[in-house]
Amino acid sequence: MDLVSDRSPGTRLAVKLHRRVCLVLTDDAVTAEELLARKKLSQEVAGRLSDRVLLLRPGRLEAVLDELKRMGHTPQVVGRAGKAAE
Amino acid sequence: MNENTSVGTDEWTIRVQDVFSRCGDMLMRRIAQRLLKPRNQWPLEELVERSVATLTNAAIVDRRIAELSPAAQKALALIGLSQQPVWNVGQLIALLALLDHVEGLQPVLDLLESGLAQPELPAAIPTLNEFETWLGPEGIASARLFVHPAVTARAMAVDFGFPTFTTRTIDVKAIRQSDGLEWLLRTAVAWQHVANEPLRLTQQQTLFKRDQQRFQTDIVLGAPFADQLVELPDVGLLSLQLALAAGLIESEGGILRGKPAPDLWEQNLLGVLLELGRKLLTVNFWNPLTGWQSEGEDVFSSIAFASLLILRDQKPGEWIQASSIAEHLYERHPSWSAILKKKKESATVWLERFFLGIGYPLRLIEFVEEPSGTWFRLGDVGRHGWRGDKAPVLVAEFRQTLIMQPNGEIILFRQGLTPELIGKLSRFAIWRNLGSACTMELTAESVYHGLETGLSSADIQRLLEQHGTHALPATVLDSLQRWASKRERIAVWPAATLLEFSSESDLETAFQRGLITIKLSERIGIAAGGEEIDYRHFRLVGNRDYESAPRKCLTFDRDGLTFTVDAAQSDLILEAELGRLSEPVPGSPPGARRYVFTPVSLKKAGEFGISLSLLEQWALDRSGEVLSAAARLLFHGSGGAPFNYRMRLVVEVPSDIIADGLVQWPAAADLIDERLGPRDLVIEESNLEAFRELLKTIGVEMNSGVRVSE
Repeated sequence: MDLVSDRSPGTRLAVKLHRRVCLVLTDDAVTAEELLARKKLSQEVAGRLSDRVLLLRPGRLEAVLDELKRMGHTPQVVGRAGKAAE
Repeated sequence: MNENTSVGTDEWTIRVQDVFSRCGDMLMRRIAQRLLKPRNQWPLEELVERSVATLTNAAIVDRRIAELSPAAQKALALIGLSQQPVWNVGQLIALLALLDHVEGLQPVLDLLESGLAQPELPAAIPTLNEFETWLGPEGIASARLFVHPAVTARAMAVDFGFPTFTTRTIDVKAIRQSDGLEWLLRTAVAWQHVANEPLRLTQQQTLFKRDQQRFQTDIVLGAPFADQLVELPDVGLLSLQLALAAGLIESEGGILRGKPAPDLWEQNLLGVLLELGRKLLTVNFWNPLTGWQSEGEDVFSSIAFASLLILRDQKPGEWIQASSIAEHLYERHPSWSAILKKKKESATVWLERFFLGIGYPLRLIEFVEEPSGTWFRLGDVGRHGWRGDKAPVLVAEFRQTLIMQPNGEIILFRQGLTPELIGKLSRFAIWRNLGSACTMELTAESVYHGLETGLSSADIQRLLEQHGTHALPATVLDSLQRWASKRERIAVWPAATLLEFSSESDLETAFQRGLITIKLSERIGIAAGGEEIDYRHFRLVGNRDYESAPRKCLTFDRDGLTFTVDAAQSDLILEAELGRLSEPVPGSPPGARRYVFTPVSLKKAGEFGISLSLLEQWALDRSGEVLSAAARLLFHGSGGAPFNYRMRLVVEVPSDIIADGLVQWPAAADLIDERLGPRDLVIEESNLEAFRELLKTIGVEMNSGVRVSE
């Protein structure tokens, strides 16, 4: 598929908006697999959007963060301190 | 525990408006009658608006203050001088008693009725008809009122009428001064504890026993002061209260949390000391003699503030002994003597501990030792804050003030510490010891915490290099980079805004226009700009909020297994669920998204840990219908019970009415084994002839193998 768009700059794109989505973004697929292999974490994962992106169940953020820390990870929580991800 | 009350003037106006809006018609009109003196009968809403506006009209406020009783005027002046707009009613009444006004609640009611002060209304009182309604359940010990700063600004020129105390003019060549850092450091340690592990409060808004003990026994918080003059009890718990009052810690929903980057640390040392001095007056649950007190009458703020006012009242250069002040306050305070169990000498000890353990380290108080005892006066910060004297110059002596050890330990010399440096260090290093030289430690967890508060690894490295006396050890640099990069491995988005495009090329277009920061999949990306998306670039075809309840977006066919997804209403969680529960229906029309439960798909769901009850709830949430029997059968089978087959003789009758009659007729019922359906009856082969004969008695013939007509 040709990814270079031929749309003019003013064209409005049809989108579906998903607000307040809780997700985990890993730097590679292996890390995502590692998280899914953890039973307590996989229970909180509603689905996998791609090989690096896990969709979390609503309201389960703190449980996921606790479990990630128990696994020895230091997850970057984007938006908590008012700072966006790089 | 009292929350931080530092809000701007506009916010006080909003608070006043809220209270007036919650006042009942009669009460509001009574208040307005005194505050506004309206000549017309205005609607209530207009009366509220005008009353709120009046509070910032200096001329009218001056006239209304003049109309107050002397005690109420003094109450306003006290609140103004304290620079704390919120006061506990009980403490205010006690303060008035110390000024020889023993009218009790009357001056407070006078203030409230005049509209110059407002009650802090709990949510449980949606409408206030009388002030007694508010004071009743709250009680004067816990009820709090507030005064708009525009009002207190007009009320401070009042003579409190203190008597003449025995004072001395002492020629002191060099007055001993604190560096002013002690309580700032301790509140930073308390902040660090709460930031790392938020504290849940009891229903009475106090600490649980285990947290109380943790702060009581904390080695760092309880370490002796660098310039220790007296020993204070429960310093850790006082530090926690001060940190909360000064806005380092916030209370929300019964949980105390450390703010990521508190404003207090952005101020210079003088600003911090003035703020802590002000917030000191909101401390409760603590006293200098016995420390933490979770219950019983609290006198701290009234005694502390009154003693500072007496010091403020003395002539410049005059010194006074704590015993003189203690004697005056002991005789007048409504409950202090009872709390001290009638031991008058304890009052002096109370005040000396307050002056030397809290006032002196904050530079609110100065002291001098004489053969006749210890003499006190306001310190340079206290004189500036409460008497308007010239601001003292408090500047750190050295910029290079820390040594970074290769093992991650940081040694800090107090001479170079500033609020900003203490604040930043507290965000990424753990306090290990407070003293004339303090120590901290860098750990993976502490650096992670610092990064979470918004610092970058470059910020941390720069700060350590700027204030270090030596270059950063290579091991520390290496650790910092390693810890920071580890954090980059996993990013958690608590509330991302995602955009789902209809095609991969649309996503690419949006990415090129800078409308997407991260591409998550072929058609989905994270929106630039957070929650706010630029609608000039987008046409919404669907909108889902993931913190709301799931929307109904499925319609089941009559088979109870096949369903159609409403793409506009569906969400990403559904997409993931579909893959776990169902299979796409092959050959669906273009654009229609149809799925079906199959034995294989539902078996896979069971292996994922999905139970029948979860599946039932899912069907109800997503389609509004109960799970079909077919789906239940495919998921659950027969629940382990085996199926049996056998040959049976079935008699088909022309109508269900006839079948009803046969089942009801006792002679026939005895010969019928079972009714299979509305018109189908099972007969044992051995009863067939008897049944045929019985039917003949009513004129009915029974044929074999031929279906009876309707």
